[in-house]
Amino acid sequence: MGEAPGRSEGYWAEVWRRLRRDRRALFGLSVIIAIMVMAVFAGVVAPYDPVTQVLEEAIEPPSRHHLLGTDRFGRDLLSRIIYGSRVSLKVGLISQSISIIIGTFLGAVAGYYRGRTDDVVMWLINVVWAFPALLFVIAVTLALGPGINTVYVAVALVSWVGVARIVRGQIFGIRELEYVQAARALGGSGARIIVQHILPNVMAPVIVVASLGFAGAIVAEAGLSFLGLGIQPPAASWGSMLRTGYAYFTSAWWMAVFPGLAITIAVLGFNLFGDGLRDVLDPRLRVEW
Amino acid sequence: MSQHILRRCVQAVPVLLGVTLVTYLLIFAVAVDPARLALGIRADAEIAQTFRHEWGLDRPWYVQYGRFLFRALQGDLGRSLATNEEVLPAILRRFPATVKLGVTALFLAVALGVPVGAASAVRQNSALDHVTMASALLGISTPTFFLGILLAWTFGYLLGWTPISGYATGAAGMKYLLLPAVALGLGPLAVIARLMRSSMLEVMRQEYLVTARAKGLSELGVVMKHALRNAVIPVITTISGSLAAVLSGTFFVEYIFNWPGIGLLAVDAIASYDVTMIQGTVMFAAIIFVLTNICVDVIYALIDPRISYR
Repeated sequence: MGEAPGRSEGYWAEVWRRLRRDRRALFGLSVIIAIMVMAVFAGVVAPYDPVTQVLEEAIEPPSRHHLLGTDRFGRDLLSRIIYGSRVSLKVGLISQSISIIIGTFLGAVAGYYRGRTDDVVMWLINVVWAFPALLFVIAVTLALGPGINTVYVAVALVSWVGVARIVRGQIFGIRELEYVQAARALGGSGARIIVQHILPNVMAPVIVVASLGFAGAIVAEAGLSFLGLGIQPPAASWGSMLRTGYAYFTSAWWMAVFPGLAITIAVLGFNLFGDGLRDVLDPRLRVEW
Repeated sequence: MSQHILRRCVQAVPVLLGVTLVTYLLIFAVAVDPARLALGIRADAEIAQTFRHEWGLDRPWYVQYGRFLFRALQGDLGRSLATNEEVLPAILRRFPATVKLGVTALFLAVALGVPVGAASAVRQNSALDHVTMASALLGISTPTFFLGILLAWTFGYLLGWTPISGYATGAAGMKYLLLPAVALGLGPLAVIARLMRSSMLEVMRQEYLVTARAKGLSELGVVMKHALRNAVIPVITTISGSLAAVLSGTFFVEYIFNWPGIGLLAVDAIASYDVTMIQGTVMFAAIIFVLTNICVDVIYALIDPRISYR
Protein backbone atom coordinates (compact mmCIF):
# COMPACT_ATOMS: atom_id res chain seq x y z
CA MET A 1 0.00 0.00 0.00
CA GLY A 2 1.47 3.29 -1.08
CA GLU A 3 1.77 6.53 0.86
CA ALA A 4 -1.06 9.01 0.70
CA PRO A 5 -0.04 11.80 -1.66
CA GLY A 6 0.87 15.32 -0.63
CA ARG A 7 1.79 15.68 3.03
CA SER A 8 5.58 15.52 2.90
CA GLU A 9 8.25 17.58 4.64
CA GLY A 10 8.17 20.07 1.79
CA TYR A 11 4.47 20.71 2.30
CA TRP A 12 4.82 22.06 5.84
CA ALA A 13 7.92 24.03 4.88
CA GLU A 14 5.86 25.64 2.13
CA VAL A 15 3.05 26.34 4.61
CA TRP A 16 5.50 28.06 6.92
CA ARG A 17 6.99 30.07 4.08
CA ARG A 18 3.59 31.37 3.03
CA LEU A 19 2.56 32.04 6.60
CA ARG A 20 5.68 34.14 7.13
CA ARG A 21 4.47 36.54 4.46
CA ASP A 22 1.17 37.16 6.25
CA ARG A 23 1.88 39.95 8.69
CA ARG A 24 -1.37 39.57 10.56
CA ALA A 25 -0.80 35.85 11.09
CA LEU A 26 2.74 36.52 12.28
CA PHE A 27 1.45 39.08 14.73
CA GLY A 28 -1.06 36.52 15.99
CA LEU A 29 1.68 33.94 16.31
CA SER A 30 3.88 36.32 18.29
CA VAL A 31 0.98 37.01 20.66
CA ILE A 32 0.50 33.27 21.14
CA ILE A 33 4.21 32.73 21.77
CA ALA A 34 4.28 35.64 24.22
CA ILE A 35 1.39 34.11 26.16
CA MET A 36 3.07 30.72 26.20
CA VAL A 37 6.32 32.19 27.48
CA MET A 38 4.39 34.12 30.10
CA ALA A 39 2.60 30.97 31.20
CA VAL A 40 5.64 28.70 31.30
CA PHE A 41 7.91 31.23 33.00
CA ALA A 42 5.25 32.82 35.20
CA GLY A 43 7.33 32.19 38.29
CA VAL A 44 10.16 34.24 36.80
CA VAL A 45 8.20 36.88 34.91
CA ALA A 46 5.60 37.76 37.55
CA PRO A 47 6.81 40.42 40.00
CA TYR A 48 4.72 39.13 42.91
CA ASP A 49 3.01 35.99 44.16
CA PRO A 50 -0.50 35.81 42.71
CA VAL A 51 -2.36 34.63 45.79
CA THR A 52 -0.62 36.31 48.72
CA GLN A 53 -2.91 38.94 50.18
CA VAL A 54 -1.50 42.31 51.23
CA LEU A 55 -4.54 44.03 52.59
CA GLU A 56 -2.76 47.37 53.21
CA GLU A 57 -2.30 47.65 49.46
CA ALA A 58 -5.86 46.74 48.50
CA ILE A 59 -7.53 48.41 45.52
CA GLU A 60 -4.61 50.53 44.45
CA PRO A 61 -4.57 52.09 40.99
CA PRO A 62 -1.71 51.35 38.57
CA SER A 63 1.57 52.65 39.93
CA ARG A 64 5.30 52.04 39.73
CA HIS A 65 5.06 49.27 42.33
CA HIS A 66 2.03 47.61 40.81
CA LEU A 67 1.98 48.29 37.08
CA LEU A 68 -1.61 47.23 36.65
CA GLY A 69 -2.83 48.00 40.14
CA THR A 70 -4.04 45.68 42.88
CA ASP A 71 -7.30 43.94 43.65
CA ARG A 72 -9.45 44.00 46.78
CA PHE A 73 -7.05 41.71 48.62
CA GLY A 74 -3.97 43.69 47.67
CA ARG A 75 -2.84 41.06 45.16
CA ASP A 76 -0.81 42.37 42.23
CA LEU A 77 -3.00 42.36 39.12
CA LEU A 78 -0.12 41.96 36.68
CA SER A 79 1.08 38.82 38.45
CA ARG A 80 -2.41 37.39 38.56
CA ILE A 81 -2.87 38.05 34.87
CA ILE A 82 0.45 36.35 34.10
CA TYR A 83 -0.49 33.29 36.13
CA GLY A 84 -3.98 33.42 34.67
CA SER A 85 -2.50 32.80 31.23
CA ARG A 86 -1.73 29.26 32.42
CA VAL A 87 -5.40 28.59 32.99
CA SER A 88 -6.37 29.96 29.58
CA LEU A 89 -3.70 27.97 27.78
CA LYS A 90 -4.53 24.78 29.65
CA VAL A 91 -8.22 25.14 28.87
CA GLY A 92 -7.48 25.77 25.21
CA LEU A 93 -4.99 22.90 24.84
CA ILE A 94 -6.87 20.25 26.76
CA SER A 95 -10.34 21.08 25.50
CA GLN A 96 -9.22 21.28 21.87
CA SER A 97 -7.23 18.04 22.19
CA ILE A 98 -10.30 16.21 23.50
CA SER A 99 -12.41 17.88 20.85
CA ILE A 100 -10.03 16.80 18.06
CA ILE A 101 -10.06 13.20 19.27
CA ILE A 102 -13.84 12.97 19.58
CA GLY A 103 -14.56 15.00 16.47
CA THR A 104 -12.06 13.21 14.24
CA PHE A 105 -13.25 9.78 15.37
CA LEU A 106 -16.95 10.51 14.92
CA GLY A 107 -16.47 12.49 11.73
CA ALA A 108 -14.29 9.75 10.28
CA VAL A 109 -16.69 6.89 10.97
CA ALA A 110 -19.64 8.94 9.77
CA GLY A 111 -17.91 9.94 6.57
CA TYR A 112 -16.41 6.54 5.83
CA TYR A 113 -19.17 4.12 6.75
CA ARG A 114 -22.09 6.42 5.86
CA GLY A 115 -25.58 4.94 6.15
CA ARG A 116 -27.00 4.52 9.64
CA THR A 117 -23.72 5.49 11.32
CA ASP A 118 -23.72 8.76 9.45
CA ASP A 119 -27.38 9.34 10.33
CA VAL A 120 -26.71 8.91 14.03
CA VAL A 121 -23.61 11.08 14.04
CA MET A 122 -25.35 13.81 12.01
CA TRP A 123 -28.27 13.74 14.44
CA LEU A 124 -25.85 14.14 17.33
CA ILE A 125 -24.10 16.99 15.54
CA ASN A 126 -27.40 18.74 14.82
CA VAL A 127 -28.59 18.37 18.40
CA VAL A 128 -25.40 19.86 19.85
CA TRP A 129 -25.43 22.52 17.12
CA ALA A 130 -28.98 23.40 18.15
CA PHE A 131 -27.76 24.68 21.48
CA PRO A 132 -26.21 28.12 21.54
CA ALA A 133 -22.73 27.17 22.72
CA LEU A 134 -22.79 28.90 26.06
CA LEU A 135 -26.08 27.33 27.10
CA PHE A 136 -24.72 23.87 26.40
CA VAL A 137 -21.55 24.63 28.29
CA ILE A 138 -23.58 25.91 31.24
CA ALA A 139 -25.80 22.82 31.24
CA VAL A 140 -22.76 20.51 31.18
CA THR A 141 -21.09 22.51 33.93
CA LEU A 142 -24.16 22.20 36.11
CA ALA A 143 -24.26 18.46 35.51
CA LEU A 144 -20.60 17.94 36.36
CA GLY A 145 -20.15 20.65 38.97
CA PRO A 146 -18.07 23.84 38.61
CA GLY A 147 -14.31 23.61 38.37
CA ILE A 148 -11.53 23.48 35.83
CA ASN A 149 -11.94 19.82 34.81
CA THR A 150 -15.56 20.48 34.00
CA VAL A 151 -14.54 23.43 31.87
CA TYR A 152 -12.23 21.22 29.79
CA VAL A 153 -14.99 18.68 29.18
CA ALA A 154 -17.76 21.21 28.64
CA VAL A 155 -15.83 23.19 26.04
CA ALA A 156 -14.67 20.02 24.28
CA LEU A 157 -18.25 18.75 24.08
CA VAL A 158 -19.20 21.85 22.12
CA SER A 159 -16.07 22.12 19.95
CA TRP A 160 -16.01 18.56 18.65
CA VAL A 161 -18.90 19.32 16.34
CA GLY A 162 -16.86 21.71 14.20
CA VAL A 163 -14.08 19.15 13.86
CA ALA A 164 -16.48 16.31 13.08
CA ARG A 165 -18.22 18.23 10.31
CA ILE A 166 -14.95 19.11 8.61
CA VAL A 167 -13.55 15.59 8.88
CA ARG A 168 -16.78 14.06 7.63
CA GLY A 169 -16.93 16.44 4.70
CA GLN A 170 -13.32 15.84 3.78
CA ILE A 171 -13.76 12.08 3.95
CA PHE A 172 -16.75 12.21 1.64
CA GLY A 173 -14.45 13.62 -0.96
CA ILE A 174 -11.44 11.44 -0.32
CA ARG A 175 -13.28 8.16 0.08
CA GLU A 176 -13.88 7.71 -3.61
CA LEU A 177 -10.37 8.55 -4.68
CA GLU A 178 -8.38 5.86 -6.41
CA TYR A 179 -5.78 5.17 -3.78
CA VAL A 180 -8.46 4.59 -1.17
CA GLN A 181 -10.39 2.28 -3.47
CA ALA A 182 -7.16 0.46 -4.18
CA ALA A 183 -6.53 0.03 -0.47
CA ARG A 184 -10.03 -1.35 -0.01
CA ALA A 185 -9.62 -3.69 -2.94
CA LEU A 186 -6.40 -4.96 -1.43
CA GLY A 187 -8.41 -5.96 1.62
CA GLY A 188 -7.53 -3.23 4.08
CA SER A 189 -9.90 -2.91 7.03
CA GLY A 190 -11.95 0.24 7.37
CA ALA A 191 -10.10 1.39 10.45
CA ARG A 192 -6.70 0.92 8.89
CA ILE A 193 -7.66 2.74 5.74
CA ILE A 194 -9.05 5.63 7.71
CA VAL A 195 -5.99 5.96 9.90
CA GLN A 196 -3.29 5.32 7.32
CA HIS A 197 -4.65 6.98 4.24
CA ILE A 198 -7.49 9.33 4.97
CA LEU A 199 -6.69 11.05 8.24
CA PRO A 200 -3.29 12.46 7.21
CA ASN A 201 -5.10 14.35 4.49
CA VAL A 202 -7.80 15.84 6.64
CA MET A 203 -5.58 17.03 9.48
CA ALA A 204 -4.85 20.38 7.85
CA PRO A 205 -8.39 21.78 8.12
CA VAL A 206 -8.72 20.17 11.56
CA ILE A 207 -5.71 22.16 12.73
CA VAL A 208 -7.35 25.34 11.47
CA VAL A 209 -10.59 24.56 13.30
CA ALA A 210 -8.67 23.72 16.46
CA SER A 211 -6.64 26.92 16.44
CA LEU A 212 -9.79 28.99 15.99
CA GLY A 213 -11.41 26.79 18.63
CA PHE A 214 -8.60 27.73 20.99
CA ALA A 215 -9.85 31.30 20.94
CA GLY A 216 -13.38 30.11 21.57
CA ALA A 217 -12.19 27.98 24.48
CA ILE A 218 -10.51 30.96 26.15
CA VAL A 219 -13.70 33.00 25.84
CA ALA A 220 -15.83 30.10 27.06
CA GLU A 221 -13.70 29.63 30.18
CA ALA A 222 -13.76 33.35 30.82
CA GLY A 223 -17.49 33.47 30.34
CA LEU A 224 -18.10 30.52 32.66
CA SER A 225 -15.84 31.99 35.32
CA PHE A 226 -17.56 35.34 34.87
CA LEU A 227 -20.84 33.65 35.74
CA GLY A 228 -19.23 31.91 38.69
CA LEU A 229 -19.30 28.46 37.13
CA GLY A 230 -15.71 28.04 36.08
CA ILE A 231 -12.47 28.48 37.93
CA GLN A 232 -13.09 29.01 41.61
CA PRO A 233 -11.21 31.56 43.74
CA PRO A 234 -8.48 32.10 44.86
CA ALA A 235 -7.08 30.64 41.64
CA ALA A 236 -6.24 33.37 39.14
CA SER A 237 -8.21 33.11 35.93
CA TRP A 238 -8.91 36.01 33.63
CA GLY A 239 -12.64 35.33 33.72
CA SER A 240 -12.95 35.16 37.49
CA MET A 241 -10.82 38.31 37.78
CA LEU A 242 -13.24 40.01 35.41
CA ARG A 243 -16.12 38.80 37.56
CA THR A 244 -14.66 40.40 40.67
CA GLY A 245 -13.57 43.47 38.75
CA TYR A 246 -17.07 43.99 37.44
CA ALA A 247 -18.36 44.50 40.98
CA TYR A 248 -15.81 47.31 41.40
CA PHE A 249 -15.80 48.88 37.98
CA THR A 250 -17.12 52.26 39.07
CA SER A 251 -14.47 52.65 41.78
CA ALA A 252 -11.54 50.58 40.51
CA TRP A 253 -11.68 50.36 36.71
CA TRP A 254 -8.33 48.57 36.43
CA MET A 255 -9.67 45.47 38.14
CA ALA A 256 -11.98 44.79 35.21
CA VAL A 257 -10.21 46.45 32.29
CA PHE A 258 -6.86 44.66 32.44
CA PRO A 259 -8.16 41.09 32.72
CA GLY A 260 -10.63 41.92 29.93
CA LEU A 261 -7.83 43.24 27.76
CA ALA A 262 -5.81 40.10 28.43
CA ILE A 263 -8.69 37.95 27.18
CA THR A 264 -9.24 40.18 24.14
CA ILE A 265 -5.57 40.21 23.12
CA ALA A 266 -5.26 36.44 23.53
CA VAL A 267 -8.37 35.83 21.44
CA LEU A 268 -7.16 38.30 18.84
CA GLY A 269 -3.86 36.47 18.58
CA PHE A 270 -5.45 33.05 18.07
CA ASN A 271 -8.01 34.45 15.63
CA LEU A 272 -5.33 36.16 13.52
CA PHE A 273 -3.12 33.10 13.47
CA GLY A 274 -6.04 30.76 12.78
CA ASP A 275 -7.23 33.00 9.94
CA GLY A 276 -3.76 33.10 8.41
CA LEU A 277 -3.36 29.35 8.74
CA ARG A 278 -6.71 28.77 7.07
CA ASP A 279 -5.82 31.06 4.18
CA VAL A 280 -2.61 29.19 3.62
CA LEU A 281 -3.80 25.63 4.16
CA ASP A 282 -7.17 25.66 2.54
CA PRO A 283 -8.64 28.89 1.20
CA ARG A 284 -11.85 27.02 0.37
CA LEU A 285 -12.56 27.01 4.09
CA ARG A 286 -12.61 30.76 4.08
CA VAL A 287 -15.99 32.16 5.02
CA GLU A 288 -14.91 35.71 5.60
CA TRP A 289 -11.86 37.86 5.03
CA MET B 1 -41.41 25.75 -1.84
CA SER B 2 -43.92 24.51 0.69
CA GLN B 3 -42.37 21.09 0.27
CA HIS B 4 -39.08 22.58 1.35
CA ILE B 5 -40.65 24.15 4.42
CA LEU B 6 -42.36 20.90 5.31
CA ARG B 7 -39.13 19.00 4.89
CA ARG B 8 -37.28 21.38 7.17
CA CYS B 9 -39.99 21.10 9.82
CA VAL B 10 -39.94 17.32 9.69
CA GLN B 11 -36.14 17.29 9.94
CA ALA B 12 -36.37 19.50 13.00
CA VAL B 13 -38.47 17.05 15.02
CA PRO B 14 -35.72 14.51 15.89
CA VAL B 15 -33.40 17.42 16.63
CA LEU B 16 -35.94 19.01 18.98
CA LEU B 17 -36.45 15.67 20.69
CA GLY B 18 -32.71 15.35 20.99
CA VAL B 19 -32.52 18.80 22.55
CA THR B 20 -35.08 17.89 25.22
CA LEU B 21 -33.32 14.56 25.83
CA VAL B 22 -29.88 16.12 26.19
CA THR B 23 -31.16 18.85 28.49
CA TYR B 24 -33.02 16.34 30.59
CA LEU B 25 -30.06 13.97 30.85
CA LEU B 26 -27.66 16.74 31.76
CA ILE B 27 -29.89 18.08 34.50
CA PHE B 28 -30.81 14.53 35.56
CA ALA B 29 -27.13 13.83 36.01
CA VAL B 30 -26.86 16.65 38.49
CA ALA B 31 -25.99 15.31 41.90
CA VAL B 32 -29.05 16.83 43.45
CA ASP B 33 -31.56 14.56 45.08
CA PRO B 34 -35.01 16.10 44.65
CA ALA B 35 -36.25 14.19 47.69
CA ARG B 36 -33.59 15.74 49.89
CA LEU B 37 -34.23 19.11 48.29
CA ALA B 38 -37.92 18.93 49.07
CA LEU B 39 -37.75 17.26 52.48
CA GLY B 40 -34.56 18.74 53.79
CA ILE B 41 -31.07 17.35 54.00
CA ARG B 42 -31.65 15.53 57.29
CA ALA B 43 -34.82 13.79 56.18
CA ASP B 44 -35.25 10.21 57.24
CA ALA B 45 -33.99 7.76 54.58
CA GLU B 46 -37.24 5.81 54.60
CA ILE B 47 -39.38 8.92 54.20
CA ALA B 48 -37.13 10.09 51.38
CA GLN B 49 -37.59 6.73 49.65
CA THR B 50 -41.37 6.95 50.03
CA PHE B 51 -41.25 10.46 48.57
CA ARG B 52 -39.22 9.20 45.62
CA HIS B 53 -41.65 6.36 45.02
CA GLU B 54 -44.69 8.64 45.21
CA TRP B 55 -43.21 11.07 42.69
CA GLY B 56 -41.90 8.31 40.44
CA LEU B 57 -38.33 9.36 41.09
CA ASP B 58 -37.20 5.79 41.56
CA ARG B 59 -38.31 4.80 38.04
CA PRO B 60 -35.67 4.36 35.30
CA TRP B 61 -34.42 7.54 33.64
CA TYR B 62 -36.18 6.89 30.36
CA VAL B 63 -39.52 6.53 32.13
CA GLN B 64 -38.93 9.79 33.95
CA TYR B 65 -37.85 11.42 30.69
CA GLY B 66 -41.01 10.18 29.00
CA ARG B 67 -43.16 11.71 31.73
CA PHE B 68 -41.13 14.91 31.59
CA LEU B 69 -41.63 15.13 27.82
CA PHE B 70 -45.33 14.38 28.13
CA ARG B 71 -45.76 17.15 30.65
CA ALA B 72 -43.53 19.52 28.66
CA LEU B 73 -45.66 19.08 25.56
CA GLN B 74 -48.60 20.25 27.64
CA GLY B 75 -46.66 23.29 28.73
CA ASP B 76 -45.70 22.06 32.17
CA LEU B 77 -41.99 22.52 32.78
CA GLY B 78 -42.21 22.09 36.51
CA ARG B 79 -41.80 24.61 39.27
CA SER B 80 -38.86 26.76 40.24
CA LEU B 81 -36.96 25.24 43.14
CA ALA B 82 -36.16 28.71 44.41
CA THR B 83 -39.44 30.60 44.08
CA ASN B 84 -41.96 27.77 43.49
CA GLU B 85 -43.45 29.69 40.55
CA GLU B 86 -44.25 27.70 37.43
CA VAL B 87 -41.27 27.65 35.09
CA LEU B 88 -42.89 28.16 31.69
CA PRO B 89 -45.07 31.16 32.63
CA ALA B 90 -42.04 32.74 34.33
CA ILE B 91 -40.01 32.30 31.16
CA LEU B 92 -42.79 33.57 28.92
CA ARG B 93 -43.19 36.68 31.07
CA ARG B 94 -39.53 37.58 30.61
CA PHE B 95 -39.21 36.47 27.02
CA PRO B 96 -40.54 39.65 25.35
CA ALA B 97 -37.78 41.73 26.96
CA THR B 98 -35.17 39.35 25.54
CA VAL B 99 -36.79 39.45 22.12
CA LYS B 100 -36.78 43.25 22.19
CA LEU B 101 -33.10 43.29 23.07
CA GLY B 102 -32.11 40.54 20.66
CA VAL B 103 -34.04 41.92 17.70
CA THR B 104 -32.62 45.41 18.26
CA ALA B 105 -29.11 44.00 18.49
CA LEU B 106 -29.50 41.96 15.30
CA PHE B 107 -31.08 44.89 13.52
CA LEU B 108 -28.13 47.10 14.47
CA ALA B 109 -25.73 44.40 13.37
CA VAL B 110 -27.31 44.02 9.93
CA ALA B 111 -28.23 47.68 9.37
CA LEU B 112 -24.68 48.81 10.11
CA GLY B 113 -22.69 45.73 9.17
CA VAL B 114 -23.95 45.40 5.60
CA PRO B 115 -23.25 49.00 4.47
CA VAL B 116 -19.93 49.14 6.34
CA GLY B 117 -18.77 45.89 4.75
CA ALA B 118 -19.98 46.98 1.32
CA ALA B 119 -18.30 50.37 1.61
CA SER B 120 -15.06 48.68 2.65
CA ALA B 121 -15.22 46.46 -0.40
CA VAL B 122 -15.95 49.31 -2.79
CA ARG B 123 -13.07 51.31 -1.30
CA GLN B 124 -10.77 48.33 -0.97
CA ASN B 125 -7.39 49.03 0.61
CA SER B 126 -8.30 52.60 1.44
CA ALA B 127 -7.93 54.09 4.92
CA LEU B 128 -11.64 53.46 5.50
CA ASP B 129 -11.19 49.81 4.59
CA HIS B 130 -8.21 49.29 6.91
CA VAL B 131 -9.84 51.08 9.82
CA THR B 132 -13.17 49.32 9.55
CA MET B 133 -11.67 45.88 9.12
CA ALA B 134 -9.27 46.39 12.03
CA SER B 135 -12.24 47.49 14.15
CA ALA B 136 -14.19 44.47 12.98
CA LEU B 137 -11.39 42.14 14.02
CA LEU B 138 -11.31 43.81 17.41
CA GLY B 139 -15.07 43.52 17.64
CA ILE B 140 -14.92 39.80 16.99
CA SER B 141 -12.18 39.24 19.52
CA THR B 142 -13.68 41.21 22.41
CA PRO B 143 -15.89 39.00 24.57
CA THR B 144 -19.46 40.26 24.91
CA PHE B 145 -19.28 40.45 28.69
CA PHE B 146 -16.15 42.62 28.58
CA LEU B 147 -17.68 44.83 25.92
CA GLY B 148 -20.77 45.28 28.07
CA ILE B 149 -18.70 46.32 31.06
CA LEU B 150 -16.63 48.74 28.95
CA LEU B 151 -19.71 50.33 27.42
CA ALA B 152 -21.49 50.63 30.76
CA TRP B 153 -18.40 52.18 32.30
CA THR B 154 -17.60 54.60 29.47
CA PHE B 155 -21.02 55.81 28.36
CA GLY B 156 -23.00 55.16 31.48
CA TYR B 157 -20.66 55.99 34.31
CA LEU B 158 -17.89 58.22 32.93
CA LEU B 159 -19.84 60.23 30.36
CA GLY B 160 -23.30 59.81 31.87
CA TRP B 161 -24.96 59.72 28.44
CA THR B 162 -27.16 56.71 29.18
CA PRO B 163 -28.31 54.91 32.32
CA ILE B 164 -26.09 52.02 33.38
CA SER B 165 -28.92 49.61 33.94
CA GLY B 166 -32.68 49.33 34.12
CA TYR B 167 -35.70 48.83 31.97
CA ALA B 168 -38.79 50.74 30.88
CA THR B 169 -41.38 50.22 28.20
CA GLY B 170 -42.33 52.57 25.43
CA ALA B 171 -40.33 55.55 24.22
CA ALA B 172 -38.81 56.13 27.64
CA GLY B 173 -37.35 52.65 27.42
CA MET B 174 -35.16 53.47 24.44
CA LYS B 175 -32.41 54.96 26.55
CA TYR B 176 -32.16 51.75 28.57
CA LEU B 177 -32.15 49.63 25.41
CA LEU B 178 -29.31 51.37 23.62
CA LEU B 179 -26.19 50.21 25.49
CA PRO B 180 -27.20 46.56 25.95
CA ALA B 181 -28.25 46.33 22.31
CA VAL B 182 -24.92 47.74 21.16
CA ALA B 183 -23.00 45.40 23.49
CA LEU B 184 -24.93 42.44 22.15
CA GLY B 185 -24.86 43.48 18.51
CA LEU B 186 -21.24 44.57 18.05
CA GLY B 187 -19.87 41.04 17.71
CA PRO B 188 -22.37 40.00 15.02
CA LEU B 189 -21.91 43.41 13.37
CA ALA B 190 -18.20 42.74 13.03
CA VAL B 191 -18.79 39.28 11.57
CA ILE B 192 -21.36 40.60 9.10
CA ALA B 193 -19.14 43.50 8.03
CA ARG B 194 -16.23 41.18 7.28
CA LEU B 195 -18.35 38.68 5.44
CA MET B 196 -20.13 41.39 3.45
CA ARG B 197 -16.80 42.80 2.39
CA SER B 198 -15.42 39.53 1.10
CA SER B 199 -18.74 38.65 -0.51
CA MET B 200 -18.90 42.02 -2.28
CA LEU B 201 -15.30 41.69 -3.47
CA GLU B 202 -16.17 38.37 -5.06
CA VAL B 203 -19.39 39.59 -6.63
CA MET B 204 -17.81 42.74 -8.00
CA ARG B 205 -15.40 40.65 -10.01
CA GLN B 206 -18.23 38.83 -11.75
CA GLU B 207 -18.77 39.12 -15.46
CA TYR B 208 -22.29 40.44 -15.37
CA LEU B 209 -21.02 43.52 -13.59
CA VAL B 210 -18.44 44.05 -16.29
CA THR B 211 -21.34 43.98 -18.74
CA ALA B 212 -23.35 46.42 -16.65
CA ARG B 213 -20.46 48.85 -16.55
CA ALA B 214 -19.86 48.43 -20.27
CA LYS B 215 -23.50 49.30 -20.85
CA GLY B 216 -22.84 52.61 -19.18
CA LEU B 217 -24.23 52.05 -15.68
CA SER B 218 -22.52 54.25 -13.09
CA GLU B 219 -20.40 52.66 -10.39
CA LEU B 220 -23.00 53.53 -7.79
CA GLY B 221 -25.65 51.97 -9.97
CA VAL B 222 -23.58 48.83 -10.36
CA VAL B 223 -23.11 48.58 -6.63
CA MET B 224 -26.67 49.32 -5.61
CA LYS B 225 -28.55 47.50 -8.33
CA HIS B 226 -26.50 44.38 -8.83
CA ALA B 227 -23.62 43.81 -6.46
CA LEU B 228 -25.31 44.49 -3.15
CA ARG B 229 -28.25 42.21 -3.74
CA ASN B 230 -26.11 39.23 -4.64
CA ALA B 231 -23.44 39.88 -2.06
CA VAL B 232 -25.95 39.92 0.74
CA ILE B 233 -27.07 36.32 0.16
CA PRO B 234 -24.16 34.60 1.94
CA VAL B 235 -24.57 37.05 4.80
CA ILE B 236 -28.03 35.66 5.45
CA THR B 237 -26.51 32.27 6.15
CA THR B 238 -24.54 33.79 9.01
CA ILE B 239 -27.68 35.12 10.63
CA SER B 240 -28.00 31.74 12.31
CA GLY B 241 -24.54 32.12 13.82
CA SER B 242 -25.35 35.69 14.82
CA LEU B 243 -28.53 34.48 16.43
CA ALA B 244 -26.59 31.92 18.46
CA ALA B 245 -24.18 34.63 19.51
CA VAL B 246 -27.09 36.86 20.53
CA LEU B 247 -28.81 34.09 22.51
CA SER B 248 -25.60 33.27 24.33
CA GLY B 249 -24.57 36.88 24.78
CA THR B 250 -27.94 37.76 26.20
CA PHE B 251 -27.01 35.92 29.40
CA PHE B 252 -24.11 38.27 30.02
CA VAL B 253 -25.62 41.47 28.71
CA GLU B 254 -28.86 41.08 30.67
CA TYR B 255 -26.83 40.34 33.78
CA ILE B 256 -24.56 43.37 33.34
CA PHE B 257 -27.33 45.80 32.46
CA ASN B 258 -29.96 44.28 34.74
CA TRP B 259 -32.25 43.74 31.76
CA PRO B 260 -35.24 41.59 32.85
CA GLY B 261 -35.13 38.93 30.17
CA ILE B 262 -34.65 35.16 30.21
CA GLY B 263 -30.87 35.59 30.31
CA LEU B 264 -31.02 37.33 33.68
CA LEU B 265 -33.58 34.77 34.80
CA ALA B 266 -31.15 31.99 33.95
CA VAL B 267 -28.16 33.67 35.60
CA ASP B 268 -30.16 34.18 38.80
CA ALA B 269 -31.27 30.55 38.61
CA ILE B 270 -27.65 29.46 38.22
CA ALA B 271 -26.67 31.44 41.28
CA SER B 272 -29.37 29.78 43.38
CA TYR B 273 -28.86 26.34 41.78
CA ASP B 274 -32.49 26.36 40.70
CA VAL B 275 -32.21 23.27 38.54
CA THR B 276 -35.73 23.18 37.10
CA MET B 277 -35.56 26.83 36.07
CA ILE B 278 -32.17 26.38 34.41
CA GLN B 279 -33.39 23.28 32.61
CA GLY B 280 -36.47 25.13 31.42
CA THR B 281 -34.56 28.19 30.23
CA VAL B 282 -31.87 26.24 28.41
CA MET B 283 -34.40 24.04 26.66
CA PHE B 284 -36.63 26.99 25.80
CA ALA B 285 -33.72 28.94 24.32
CA ALA B 286 -32.55 25.94 22.29
CA ILE B 287 -36.03 25.29 20.91
CA ILE B 288 -36.46 28.94 19.96
CA PHE B 289 -33.08 28.73 18.25
CA VAL B 290 -34.10 25.68 16.21
CA LEU B 291 -37.42 27.22 15.21
CA THR B 292 -35.84 30.55 14.27
CA ASN B 293 -33.26 28.74 12.15
CA ILE B 294 -36.07 27.08 10.24
CA CYS B 295 -37.51 30.52 9.54
CA VAL B 296 -34.10 31.79 8.41
CA ASP B 297 -33.74 28.76 6.12
CA VAL B 298 -37.13 29.46 4.60
CA ILE B 299 -36.31 33.12 4.02
CA TYR B 300 -33.02 32.09 2.47
CA ALA B 301 -34.85 29.69 0.15
CA LEU B 302 -37.27 32.44 -0.81
CA ILE B 303 -34.44 34.79 -1.71
CA ASP B 304 -32.33 32.19 -3.47
CA PRO B 305 -34.70 29.79 -5.27
CA ARG B 306 -31.88 27.43 -6.11
CA ILE B 307 -31.84 26.25 -2.51
CA SER B 308 -35.25 24.62 -2.46
CA TYR B 309 -34.47 22.45 -5.44
CA ARG B 310 -31.55 20.72 -3.73
